[in-house]
Amino acid sequence: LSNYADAEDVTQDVLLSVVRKLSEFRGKADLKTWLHRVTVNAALVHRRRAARRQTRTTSDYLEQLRPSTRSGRRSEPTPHEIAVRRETHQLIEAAITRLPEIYRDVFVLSDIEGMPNLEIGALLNLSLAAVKSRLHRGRSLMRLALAPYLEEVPADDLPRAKELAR
Amino acid sequence: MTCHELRNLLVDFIADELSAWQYDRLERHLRSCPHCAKYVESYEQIVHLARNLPPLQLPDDVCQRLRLALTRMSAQRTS
Repeated sequence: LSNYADAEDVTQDVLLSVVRKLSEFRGKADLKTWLHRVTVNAALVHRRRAARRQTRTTSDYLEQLRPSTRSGRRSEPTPHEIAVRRETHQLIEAAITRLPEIYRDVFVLSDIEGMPNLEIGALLNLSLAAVKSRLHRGRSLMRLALAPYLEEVPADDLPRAKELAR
Repeated sequence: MTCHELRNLLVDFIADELSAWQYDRLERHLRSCPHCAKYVESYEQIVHLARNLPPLQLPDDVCQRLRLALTRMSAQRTS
């Protein structure tokens, strides 16, 4: 959040979300955790709006993610690599904000906030099976949304699937 | 194991909550099914990318204004 106007916008967004969603708060979860979740969602939506205001298009991002425009492996990321990473983050956040809310809530809590599935269930009043089902659906939708970019995204860790399939 | 069965195990696979038996079956399937191997690879990449997003920290002044506004809201609800 870069400036005062941005901060002011997010404050308003969070307050609006709190007012709109207050009836969903069931008292089972800690109020602080619940507020944090509402705030994270509002901040994500805000970041997406800010990214939209920039003049770059999706094809520009894609072009930057192609291997031919990436430099080789180095220990320190170059300014270009840092910029690509930032733009990758924006792509992911944009995809998250486009997820239907029932999947986005679970995806954000699990994969961004690192909350255990049982706690997510308590927070959202869902069974463990429902949390897992929504999480799988959310990840699958994210996978579809980001499919054109996935192969080009630099990953620090080798996915386990690659090792297992060997 | 079918491709559909494998996909139903992915949430537990990512959470490291598969039994040894399930893990073996998943591993065997991945060795014989390039389509699922590719699928699981991109699925893991999504989780990895999401987990490595920079934290969404709100600046102190925003937190302070939120606290004030929420206190005001709460006072209005109770009055």
